[in-house]
Amino acid sequence: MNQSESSNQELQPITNIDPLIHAPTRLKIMAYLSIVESADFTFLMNQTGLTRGNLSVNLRKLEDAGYISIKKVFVDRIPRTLIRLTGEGRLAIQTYRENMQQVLNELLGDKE
Amino acid sequence: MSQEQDFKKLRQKTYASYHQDGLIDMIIGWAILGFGINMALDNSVFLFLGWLPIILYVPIKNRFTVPRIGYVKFSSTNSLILGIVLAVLLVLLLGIFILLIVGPDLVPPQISEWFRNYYLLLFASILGLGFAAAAYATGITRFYAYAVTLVFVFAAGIWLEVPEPVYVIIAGLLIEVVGVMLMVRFLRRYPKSNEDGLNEPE
Repeated sequence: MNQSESSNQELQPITNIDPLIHAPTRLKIMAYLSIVESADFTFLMNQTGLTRGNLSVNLRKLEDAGYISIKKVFVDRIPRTLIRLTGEGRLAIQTYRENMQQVLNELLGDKE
Repeated sequence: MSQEQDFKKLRQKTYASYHQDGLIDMIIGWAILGFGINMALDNSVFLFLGWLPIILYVPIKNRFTVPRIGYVKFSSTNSLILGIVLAVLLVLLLGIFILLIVGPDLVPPQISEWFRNYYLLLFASILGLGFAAAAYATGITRFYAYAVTLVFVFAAGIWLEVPEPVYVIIAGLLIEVVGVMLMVRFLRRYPKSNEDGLNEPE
């Protein structure tokens, strides 16, 4: 096996990284949603520091991928847009973390 | 740094952010204050008034905090762990009081005497442990300061031979004042948001 083939093999895990989650804005959203049961739009906007429009667009993308569910509900008689990770979304963020760790380990030569 | 630690930090940061309104501090301070006034006046109405805001916590949170920073529901696992720790401390507290009130004959007289002299310091230490456990679990670091303050104020009060209710009231007031200051800062920093929802993508 020559050097180029070996390098390609080491970087193979990079192709497993989910590009939908890898984008910084969506990664932020997914990370916050992974540590709570559910949050509303205003809370996510405050925590992530994203603008209303930017957050809306990225939430739609994550919803289309089936990673999050968005529901209009009433919490104590106040209408709220509740957002939560779906089972698929939870698995996706977990897999993303594992793949990223693997990529970093490969690149830094810290194989566990 | 492990991934678990990363997520723990993010969880704590989010938790601390949700409780930056000082409401929880005001409720705890008020309860201690009520306890102190009850001791001073020997009137249990104040004890009841001290605990009353606890049932108002959720409505107040929904009225003032949620419209400003949004609504979040934390995972039940964390709340469960914190709940267990606080329940253990509550049982310890109750144990001390039962030992003091019901069964002084059950323990040697020296221990009974020590309890009688320093029960408030013990009470403050257990409350302090509760604050420290809550601070560790939630990332609300000012709770560490409350833990130290409670024990310090109670110990100083006993050492300086200040009447018991005075230092209980002082401890409650300190926490209450911090809570009010945090609430004022929170209300100034976060204006009420009337909008909640997605913009339709253009």
